[in-house]
Amino acid sequence: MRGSSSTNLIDLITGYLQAKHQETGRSSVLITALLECWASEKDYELKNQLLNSLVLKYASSIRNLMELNQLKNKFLGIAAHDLRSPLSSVRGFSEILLSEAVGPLTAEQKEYITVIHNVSRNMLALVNDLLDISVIESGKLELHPERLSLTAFLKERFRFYDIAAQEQKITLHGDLEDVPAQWFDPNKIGQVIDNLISNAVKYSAPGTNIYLTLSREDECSIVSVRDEGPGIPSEYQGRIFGEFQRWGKPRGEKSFGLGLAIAKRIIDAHHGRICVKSEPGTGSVFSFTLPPGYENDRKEETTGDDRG
Amino acid sequence: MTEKKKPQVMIADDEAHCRLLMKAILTSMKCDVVCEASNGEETVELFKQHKPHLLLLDINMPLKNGDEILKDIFRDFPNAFVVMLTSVTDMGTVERCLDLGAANYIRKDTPLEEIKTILKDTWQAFAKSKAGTGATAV
Repeated sequence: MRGSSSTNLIDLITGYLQAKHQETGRSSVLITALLECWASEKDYELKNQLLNSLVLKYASSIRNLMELNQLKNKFLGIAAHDLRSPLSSVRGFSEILLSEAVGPLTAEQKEYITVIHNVSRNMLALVNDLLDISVIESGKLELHPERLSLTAFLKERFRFYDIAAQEQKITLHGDLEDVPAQWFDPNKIGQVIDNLISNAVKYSAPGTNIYLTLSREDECSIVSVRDEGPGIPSEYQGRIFGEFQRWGKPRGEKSFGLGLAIAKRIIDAHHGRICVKSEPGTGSVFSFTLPPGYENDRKEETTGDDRG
Repeated sequence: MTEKKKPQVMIADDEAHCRLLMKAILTSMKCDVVCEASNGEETVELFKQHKPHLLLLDINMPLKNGDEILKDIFRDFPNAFVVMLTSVTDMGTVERCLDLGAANYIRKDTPLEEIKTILKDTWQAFAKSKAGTGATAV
């Protein structure tokens, strides 16, 4: 708009000078054009001012949102922390009572205390997830890597997973290839595998199977957990590693849908990849890779841990 | 932990329910909880007074933090056996405590059986490492 009105004006001035005032009416056309040009310039200036003020407002909104997000993370962290300690005690005391180490319980007492124990255990898991995500969101996820054999690590944990699966009448199969020792944070990777296995158990029907495999490809270790559950609809698969994502209703258990988001952040921090393959009705396979490259980088990284 | 005499333990935590839970766990492990403290200064004072075989020490305490308490205790008792308790594992603080001489740390939300295993293993490892050095731990 501005370019074309300037060109018109130049043409008019040129024409005016060439005519040397011989033609009547030229001056009024020139004045009109000059006014139009001035109006157009003014319009451009105003639009520019408006744009600048919008950019400033936008930047300020982003800053405010970031501050609010940080505040939310801080609040989550404090709330989760303050809840975790008393919840740990509630769970611990109910466990002691249930073990009848301090005296026998009637069937009714046992039933009620079992409820207290289960509810506090689930709440503790929820609070831990909140705390983990608040730590990760604040950019404080730090790793404490150790050079370990993933094979031995998985074999050791397999026993616990097997017990959890058996409780739900699910058979856990292990196919763990011998892979060389590599650097990883055992607490964090253990947390990822715990999450994948417990999800598989939650979504599996009694009498089905879960397969935990460890293999090696292109020097990367690959851990996979396959179940024979209902599978994940394709529309959920794209956002399954996002926060607060849930699908289905696994045996009425409460969850914030943060486990896989936490798992992804942990695997990302190890420079690995986590993915899901699933077709409804045929089960799901969750896999993650642990690359050896992490070993070379780790010395340059700040390490630490925030197990919340 | 094979001695006939019960190991003497001190628990330092500002939250009464945490102290009570740890006391229940330790009692089930046939330990004798000789004293409890709810702040940092009280911890140092009672430790010097009772000289327990084991101190379970919360990292975040009022009046004196875990690392300050450790410095005070190890100054007078270089062979003290201390296991840190933590609700939020601020690994930086935990590592500082381990560097100062704490034998291990326990997250408070750890399942009870696991707490017992960690305590037993740490105790055995500590006793082995201090064997013949005149350590206070059994």
